[in-house]
Amino acid sequence: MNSEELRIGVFVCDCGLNIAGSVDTEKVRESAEKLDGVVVSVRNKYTCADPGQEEIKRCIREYSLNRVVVASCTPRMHESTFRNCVAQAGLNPYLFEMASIREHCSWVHLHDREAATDKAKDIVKIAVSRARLLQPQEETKIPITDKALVIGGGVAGIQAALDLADAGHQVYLVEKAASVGGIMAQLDKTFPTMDCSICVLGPKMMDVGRHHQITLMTYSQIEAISGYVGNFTVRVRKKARYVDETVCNSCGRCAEVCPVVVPDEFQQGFSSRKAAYIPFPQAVPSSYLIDMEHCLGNSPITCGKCVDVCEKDCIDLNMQDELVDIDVGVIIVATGMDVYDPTALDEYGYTRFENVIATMEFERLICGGGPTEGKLVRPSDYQVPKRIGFIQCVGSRTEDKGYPYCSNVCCMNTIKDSLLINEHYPDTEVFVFYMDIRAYGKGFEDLYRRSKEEGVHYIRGLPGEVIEDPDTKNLIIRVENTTTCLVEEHELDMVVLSVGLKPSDDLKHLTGIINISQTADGFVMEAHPKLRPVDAPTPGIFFAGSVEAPKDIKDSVTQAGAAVARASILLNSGTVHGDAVKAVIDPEKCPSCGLCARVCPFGAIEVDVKAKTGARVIAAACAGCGACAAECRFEAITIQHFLDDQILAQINAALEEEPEKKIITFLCNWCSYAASDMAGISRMQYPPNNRFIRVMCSGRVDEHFILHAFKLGAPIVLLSGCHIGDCHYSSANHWTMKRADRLWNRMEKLGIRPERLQLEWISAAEGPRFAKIMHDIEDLRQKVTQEEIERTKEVLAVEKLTHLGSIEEPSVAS
Amino acid sequence: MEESLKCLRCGHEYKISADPKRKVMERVCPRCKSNSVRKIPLKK
Repeated sequence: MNSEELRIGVFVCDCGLNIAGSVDTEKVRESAEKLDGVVVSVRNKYTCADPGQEEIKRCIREYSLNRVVVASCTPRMHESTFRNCVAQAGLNPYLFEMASIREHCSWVHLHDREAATDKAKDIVKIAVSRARLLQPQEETKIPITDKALVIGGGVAGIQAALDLADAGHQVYLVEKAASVGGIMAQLDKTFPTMDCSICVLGPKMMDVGRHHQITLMTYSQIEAISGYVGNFTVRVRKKARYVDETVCNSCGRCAEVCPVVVPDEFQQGFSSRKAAYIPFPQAVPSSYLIDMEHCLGNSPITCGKCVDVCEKDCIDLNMQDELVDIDVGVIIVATGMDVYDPTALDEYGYTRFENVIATMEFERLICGGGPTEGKLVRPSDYQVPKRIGFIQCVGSRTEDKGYPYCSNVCCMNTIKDSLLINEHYPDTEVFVFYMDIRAYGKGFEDLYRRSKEEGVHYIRGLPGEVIEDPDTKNLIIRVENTTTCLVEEHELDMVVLSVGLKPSDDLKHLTGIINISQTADGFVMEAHPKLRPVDAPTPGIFFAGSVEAPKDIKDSVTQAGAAVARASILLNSGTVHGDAVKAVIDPEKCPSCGLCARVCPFGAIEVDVKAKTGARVIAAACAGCGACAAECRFEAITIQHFLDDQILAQINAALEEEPEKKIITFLCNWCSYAASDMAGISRMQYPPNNRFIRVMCSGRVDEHFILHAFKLGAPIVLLSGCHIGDCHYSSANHWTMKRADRLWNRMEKLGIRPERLQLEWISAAEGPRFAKIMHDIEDLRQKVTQEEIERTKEVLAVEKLTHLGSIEEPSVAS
Repeated sequence: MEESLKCLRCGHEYKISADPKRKVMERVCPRCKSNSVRKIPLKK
C-alpha cells in the first residue's frame, strides 16, 4: 500500500491525569495530525473506556481508516482491548498499533513536562511509522487438547484437579512426594474454624485418588515441557517406588520385617519409620514404598526380607524410573511453598537447645496423629510444658536472615496454636512475642480476641536471643515490651519459632523447564497482579495456591477455583487463536544452508541440506521469536508483523530529529518490556532520551538494525532481553548474546567503540534495575562526542549493513 | 583454557576458565553487574 492510500487515525489518551498530568496531550495530538498518512487525530479522556472505543469505531467508519494508533498505556495492558475494538469496526486487528506514552513517558518523567511531551510526540511518531507498514494478518485456529496437567498435590492442586475433573476434563495430577496432601496434611487444626486438617483434606485426597477423570502420578517429577498453549507435551519421570502401588494393600508386613530405621520426615523427625514405609496413615495412594537410599535390599543376599513376606508379591527391588509423555492443553502450577528453616538464626538456639522447636514440629506434637498422639511434651524431658513462648516473624519481614515479606499465615497459626494449648492444657501459660499481629481475614479478629480473652499473653517485642538454663533446660527470653517500654525477662519451658514461608525449592527446577518467571520475592510472577492474578505471562499456564505468594488454605482453594475457571475457558473453547507472528521463508532466496533450522529453539523449521529444496516453516510449531530471521545471511526469512521494514521505519522515526540525543533500546516483549512497564508503574524516574522498540524476543534483533541506528547517528544502542535461562523462546536469546559478540568485534574493526552497543538481561520483576540501567546508559551517551558520531556515519555509509551471520553454536561464557 | 572478558559499561577486565562443553551462561561483570561483557577475541 502506498502512502496516498494510507488513512491512519491517531487517538491520544489523557488517562485522566495519568498521562495528561505530565504530558501536554493536546500538543501530542497536534503533532500526530501532521504525520504522513494521518487523517484524523483525536484526544480522549479515557480511550479504553466505552466512549473512547466508540469514538475509534466511529472514526474508522467516518474517515475510512485503514490503520489505527492509540497512544495510551502499555500494550501489555490494552492491546487486546483495542484490537477487539478495531475488529468490531471491520478492521483487521493487526492494522492496529499502540504507543506507550504512560509507562514509557508520563509516569517516568513526572517532573519535566516539556521533555515528556517531546518524547511522547516521538513515541507516537515511531508508532505511526510502524503502522504505515502494517499488514493484515490472519490468526490460525489451533485445536486444543482437552486435558490438563496440575503440578503439585497440595490442597490447591487437589482442588484444581477435582474441579477440572468434575467439569469433565481429563486431568493429570503430578506430585513429587509419595502421597498427595502437601503441608496441610501435616497440620493439626486449621484457623479460624479450628477444624481438623486431615479430616477436611483426607476425603479430597481420596477423591483425587479414585476419580475416573484424574490420573494421579505421585512420586513423580516434571522432566521437560514443550509446545504451546493448547498443545503442551510434558515428560514426567515416575520414580521407582519398588512397590507396585496398584497391587499393594497396605498390610504393612514389609515395614514390620524391615530392619532399617530412619527418622520419619512426616513426624518432623520426632519418631522413626522403616525403609519400607507408607508416608502417613491417610496417604493417597495408600501404598507402601521402599526408601532405596537406606534400603539394604539392592542385593537380596543382604536383606530382601520385605520381598519374602509380601503376600501380594508387589515388591520389585529392580524397579526402574519410568518416563511418561503426556499431551495436555493447559497447565496449572500448584507447587506450593516451603517452610523457612530457622537454622541460620543461631540467636534463637534452634539447633542448640532441645526445647526450641519450629511451627511444623509443634503441629506434629499437638496432633492426635503425631508421634506423642497429641500429648504436648517438651523434647528434653517429655514433660508437659507449663510456660510456652511463641516468637513471631522468624524468617519473615527481615532483610538479614530470612525474607523481607510478611508470610501471611504465621500470626493466625500461632493464635490457633495458643487456643489449642489452652484447650488441652488449661494450666499452661502461653506468651506470644510479636511485632504486629495481622488478623485481617474473615473470622480472624474474633479468634485473636478469643485468644486474648482466654489469657494468652501478647507481648509486643521480638527477643534478641534465647538463652538456655543448662540445669533445667528452661529457656530465658529477654525482650523489650514496646507497649510498656519495659525490658521483661521470661523463663519458659519451651519456645516455638513461628517460622515464615518461602518459595518452593522446586520452583527453580520448574522455571528451568517452563516459561514462568519469578518476582523479586522468589514466588511466581502473574500476567497481571490485579487483572490476571492466576495467569502466567505464558498463555495456557495458570497458578494456584502458595506458588504465587504465601496463602492460607481458604485462599489457596479459592485461587485453585479461579485457575480452573481460567483454564476451563480455554479447554471448553476447543480451539485457540494462534498468534500471527510467524516466520515465513522466501524459497527464492533460501539456499538451504540449514542454519535457521539449527537456530530455531522449537524445531519448527525443516530443511534438507543435501536436496537443496529450501527450508520450510512448520507454522503450528513456530513461536515467532525471530531468531531465524536475524541469523539468516540471505535475508530469506521474514517475521510476520515484525518485518525488517517495520523495525527499520521505527528506527528512522526515532532518529529523525536530534539523533545524537537519542538512545535506541530494543526491548523483548516478555521480560525487558515488562520491566520497563514495572518501572513506569512504580513511577521510577529516569532520563527521557531513550526510544524503545518492542520485539517479541531479543533474538529477533538483526545486526543491521543496530548498525542502521548507528548509521543514522544514534550514540548508543541498548539490546535487552530475558535473562539467559529465562528466555520465553527457550534458548533464542543465546543467539542474541552471540550476535552481540559478533557485532562488538565488527564495530571494533570498523573503528566504532564497542561500548556504544550495550547488552542487558532484565527480568520482568527488575523495574528498579531497568531504571538504573536507563541512568547508566544516559551517562554513556553523554560521553559519545558529535565527532565520533559523524565518523561512524561516514564509515557505515560505505559499509554493507547486512550481517555476517554465523554457522557456529552460541558461545559458552560466564 | 581461559577466556578474557571486558565489561563495556565500567571497563573492568577479567578472565574466566572456559569449558567449551559448559552450557551457555549469562555474563555478569563482577564489578558493576552489567551484562555488557565482551569476550575479547584471541589475537591471531
